[in-house]
Amino acid sequence: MRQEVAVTAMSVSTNKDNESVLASLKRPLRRADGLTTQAVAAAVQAMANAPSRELAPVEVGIFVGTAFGPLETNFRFLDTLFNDGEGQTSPTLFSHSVHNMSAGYISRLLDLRGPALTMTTFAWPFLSALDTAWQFMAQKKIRRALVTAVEAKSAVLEDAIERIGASDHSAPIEKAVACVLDPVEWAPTGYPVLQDLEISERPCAPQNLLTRKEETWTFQPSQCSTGPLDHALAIIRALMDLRSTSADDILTFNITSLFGNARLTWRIKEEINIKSIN
Amino acid sequence: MAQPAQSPNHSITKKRAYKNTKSSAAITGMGCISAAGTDTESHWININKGTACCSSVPDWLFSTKLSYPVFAAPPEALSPTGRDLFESAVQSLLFSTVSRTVNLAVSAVAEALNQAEIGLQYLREKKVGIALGTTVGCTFNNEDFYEQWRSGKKPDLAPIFHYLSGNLAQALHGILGTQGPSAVVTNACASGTDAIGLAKGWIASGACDLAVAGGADELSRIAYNGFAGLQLSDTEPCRPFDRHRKGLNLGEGAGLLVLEEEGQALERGITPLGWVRGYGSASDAWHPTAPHPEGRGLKCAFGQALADAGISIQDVAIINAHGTGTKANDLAEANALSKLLPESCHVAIVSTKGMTGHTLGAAGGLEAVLTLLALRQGVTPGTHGYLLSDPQLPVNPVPQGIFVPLPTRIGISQSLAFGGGNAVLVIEARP
Repeated sequence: MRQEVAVTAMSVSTNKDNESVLASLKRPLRRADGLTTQAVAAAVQAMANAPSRELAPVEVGIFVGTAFGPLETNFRFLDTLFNDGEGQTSPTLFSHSVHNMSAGYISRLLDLRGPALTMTTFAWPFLSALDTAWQFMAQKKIRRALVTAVEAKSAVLEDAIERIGASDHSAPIEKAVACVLDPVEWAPTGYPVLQDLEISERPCAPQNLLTRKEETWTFQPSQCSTGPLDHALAIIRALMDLRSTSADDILTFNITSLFGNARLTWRIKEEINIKSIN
Repeated sequence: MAQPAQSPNHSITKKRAYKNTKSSAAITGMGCISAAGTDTESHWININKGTACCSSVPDWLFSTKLSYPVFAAPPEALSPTGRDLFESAVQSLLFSTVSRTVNLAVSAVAEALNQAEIGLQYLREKKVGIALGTTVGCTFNNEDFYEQWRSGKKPDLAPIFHYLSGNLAQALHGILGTQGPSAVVTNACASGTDAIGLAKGWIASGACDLAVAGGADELSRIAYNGFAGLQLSDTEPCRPFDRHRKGLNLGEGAGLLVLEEEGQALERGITPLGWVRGYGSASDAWHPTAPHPEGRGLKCAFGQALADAGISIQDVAIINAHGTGTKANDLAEANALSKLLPESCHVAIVSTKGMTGHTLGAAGGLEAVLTLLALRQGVTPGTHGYLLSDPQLPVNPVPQGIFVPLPTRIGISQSLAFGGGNAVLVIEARP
């Protein structure tokens, strides 16, 4: 069993939510695509909300999860290849079409110099990043983890979804979520503590990874999954709601789908722990 | 006037034995495929001979008007061993329907599993972790589809489904019929190294019984043009660390390790080939594509890896550098190594990219295998393409044509990446 970690800050980023953050980062993000912009905005907000700790830059790790990464930037690069020909392609677009560019921006703009890993999976990229971050924390490689999940809007994927007859679903929207993991003693009372995380993927028809058909979670059963970021949004929102309660029960989040299952177990930090800090 | 590259002083002949630590992962199998060979044995032979297969882009791969050479793996990405594994593992899936990257990975994993004496039945009874690095392998690369789509047509969706089926770790789990942790690390050129480090952690924590870890990547016209656009490619075969180096050549391949907890391997009657003893990973926090000029992140990752392994730099016999052949990478790496290596320390610094090209997400896996091969043989060939020393570089790698005996059985394999990532592995060969 890994040592527990607490989520001490969370954020959800959309263009509307982050106008002030984005305004302050206008210059360093001038070449960034929408994917990176949203990832940076979510990361900056989460870190701003996290408890103040004296940490060296190398003690903070970055873990980004994404299913499709900068897919649209890759297409923009292809546009330059088709329109302008070989040898005339955009170096900026190419460098930004690499999956870990968001992590690189977060690292640079927040001056975080620990490990920066980008995890790519079509199933639950946020959980993959969260699991990896937890491992690095448990193995004392870092003392804080910034976990981000991000997806970009893609017209190509939207069209594909429509054509396979899943019009009630939609392609990924340009959004990001971020959370900060700290050792439990740094979490205020009432904050969620991660106790267990199990991910079990299984082979499935590839279109199911696009439509998210039959993907459900027990903690917000009324919601319908529309993309690979939805599980992250649902988890973060559920955790935000939990913080306002005083429950100390074990909370289990189950996700089921045609491409596998996942389960997260949380508890709410009790008052006794905060006293031990004092 | 440029000086011929000098062989550094490697006269120390100390031999040390190290006890395996709890956090080490035993290596019981390794496999690789690239332009330098279709398995570990052919790699070692060709690297020692200096037989580099660097050529213009083969017609069967893709057409281009550009003149940057590449290191292409054989047209048949699936080796005979890989084909045997594929055909015995899956009845319903044709190897022609999976990506070239997946087939390269299957070739490497087949060799590694054979060496580890692990059959499919045993594998399927175990909790198997698969951690792989890739870059091209996680990207949508079907130009025909996109060209039709953007012109308003409705191209067949098969390429989209092919892309969705191409998650490297899930594809391998599907082919092998295994269950367990799964991770695809997309840290650009450091992906394979980070994937092995991640899997080492899985073994240490008991997250899986055994792990397949490394990297795989195929050549694509998109990446080829991207690196050309960045003006990072050389029109001649690459010359890592050489005074006249002008850039990298792209390559393709796969390099994978089978990792196990040592006690389990011994129970199976398998003596480990070696161990992944240490892992470090750190960021430059500097520039989107250029490394920190002093190798800030590399120095940090290097120190972490040594600490994780519980060794000092004096214990290291060889550093398999990232050594791409670009001006910026080789300078940053050399600057970092000059600060890390005391004057009294005579470590053989080499790059193998003059034989394999830069295989991007596969590089870390491939180079971990090549490092272990050299450590097991107790000797390393020099850096293919490195002929003239660069006075700007404060370290002196082993030049082409020189063979250096390795005084210990511990080596380092390191990777630098776009985005400022740096990852370092400490690998030890069994005496």
